Amino acid sequence: MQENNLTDFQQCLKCNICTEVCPMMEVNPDYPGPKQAGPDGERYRLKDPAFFDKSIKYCLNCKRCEVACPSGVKVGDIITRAKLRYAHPEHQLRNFALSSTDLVGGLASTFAPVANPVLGLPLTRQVMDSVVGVSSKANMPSYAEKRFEKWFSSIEETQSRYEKKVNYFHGCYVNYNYPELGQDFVKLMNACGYGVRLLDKQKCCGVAMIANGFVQQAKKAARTNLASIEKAEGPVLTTSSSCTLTLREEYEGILGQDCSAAKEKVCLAVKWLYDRIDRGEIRLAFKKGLKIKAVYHTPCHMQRMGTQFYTIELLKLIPGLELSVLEQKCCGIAGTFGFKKENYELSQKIGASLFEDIRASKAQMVITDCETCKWQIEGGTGMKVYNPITLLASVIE
Amino acid sequence: MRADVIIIGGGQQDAALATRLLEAGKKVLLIFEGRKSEDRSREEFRAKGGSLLAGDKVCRVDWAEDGSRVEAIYTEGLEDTALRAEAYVLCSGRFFIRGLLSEEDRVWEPVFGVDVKYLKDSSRWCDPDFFAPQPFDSFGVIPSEDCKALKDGKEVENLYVTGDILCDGIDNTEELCKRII
Repeated sequence: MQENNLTDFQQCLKCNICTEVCPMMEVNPDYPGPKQAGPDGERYRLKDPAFFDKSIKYCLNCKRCEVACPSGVKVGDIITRAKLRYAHPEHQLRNFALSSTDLVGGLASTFAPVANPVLGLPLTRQVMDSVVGVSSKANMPSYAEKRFEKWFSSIEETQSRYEKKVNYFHGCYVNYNYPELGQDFVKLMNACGYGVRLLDKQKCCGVAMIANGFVQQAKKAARTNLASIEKAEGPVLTTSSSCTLTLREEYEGILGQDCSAAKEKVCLAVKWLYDRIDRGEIRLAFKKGLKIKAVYHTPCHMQRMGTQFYTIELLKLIPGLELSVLEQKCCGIAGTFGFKKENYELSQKIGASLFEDIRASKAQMVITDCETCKWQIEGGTGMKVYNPITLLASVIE
Repeated sequence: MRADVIIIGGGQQDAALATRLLEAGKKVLLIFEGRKSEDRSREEFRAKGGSLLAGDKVCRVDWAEDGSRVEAIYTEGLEDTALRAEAYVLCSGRFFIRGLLSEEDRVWEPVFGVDVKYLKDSSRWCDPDFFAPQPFDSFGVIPSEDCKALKDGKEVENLYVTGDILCDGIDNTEELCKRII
């Protein structure tokens, strides 16, 4: 774990702007808020770890506090590091299952024809709820019968024919749950004249392991990914906002790894594409006669990176797309947080106002860059949620 | 990206100005560091179709060779993406939001390094009488008659300045809107 950066929390002026933007503060009086859990608490914890207040477990690591802080304090990082250092693990088995996406995803997708219906049975959900602690009400993702990597190996030959290539960090969601997004990414890159390559070896980025306190496993995954990224020639593109933040920032800020290779090469596909269109290197030809009404939800991690700019500007290029950008609110899922039985109600309360905005918009679809936001919004509104790459792939000629 | 106007915000009036320019048909990008991204006026700007970069910071400026114009700006979040505009508006607020920075013996504007009015003698920055008008309150960026910022005494052609970052509590909003719209 990275050592405390003493000068960081000392920049806090106690203005409480972070407290005002914290989505957990609004719904949960047990949470002391980012200022107290972060810079204030850090002073005490450094003095004596006995001051550790376990209610900081409610922090979603949405990082809205970091966006709002006028003094550049990495409030979310301070809280996450404190959690990893001082918290006593609870619900270890459940948390391990939720965060070991490669292990569970690998198993579930292998047995997908059986796993999906069984996992969907009310009885299974009841057992998972009462024994394991995964809420029976949460909108669980289903598993793909054919993993993305497997599909990709069947088309790899066609990709190698392209002169120019990009690397793709698909992440576990694309691999095990939603390979369609990876396929859309390949289609879009091919339309731009680029072939796609996968990294030598890739593991889950580790965002869920960090959130659930499995530091050693997260570090192991980080080292594997960083080694592959370093070896890769050219840019490593991503389609998930949280994977991107983890690879580029959390590996360093939380896990203390040197992620200069990731900072240099890892790039959201929307940014890569926008920059090339902006420079006139790529021109997208769109289908004619489109008529789509969509809303865009900015994931908290996307806002933290500022990269929603690229998604929004790219979407504005689509003729016939009536797009409105929703007010930035947290959807409440926070990765694995909202799946946990004890957090489900809180998670829904946080998302309620966003769900209302989406319903009131009367849009046909919601666009967002984060897979867990997608599950939460689909569960909360019953509407279809797509990654911007999927929408772009479906509207190009 | 190429916008008509890029507002380097943070100050109180940034979003109201951005919305006004947007409604006049301009393509506007508003960048601001820190503060609540949920400010109602900023949300109104976003909802009306303005481009917003919340919690981001301008980290580099490309100047024309002779220093007379701003060619492009870059932010920490968007890294190598050049942000270009016909006009740039500096509306980045005062000391608390870091639109202005100070050390023991100087006050400066960190984004463009434009000319700032302040007292050289720092012992006179504060009046010991807490309730008296404080001299540092009148520090700030000096606008030209055309509402533009000055750098080493020379007007920067496409860099406007407005809001509470200005010295002596000057309010040039109306003038500035007339010039840009």
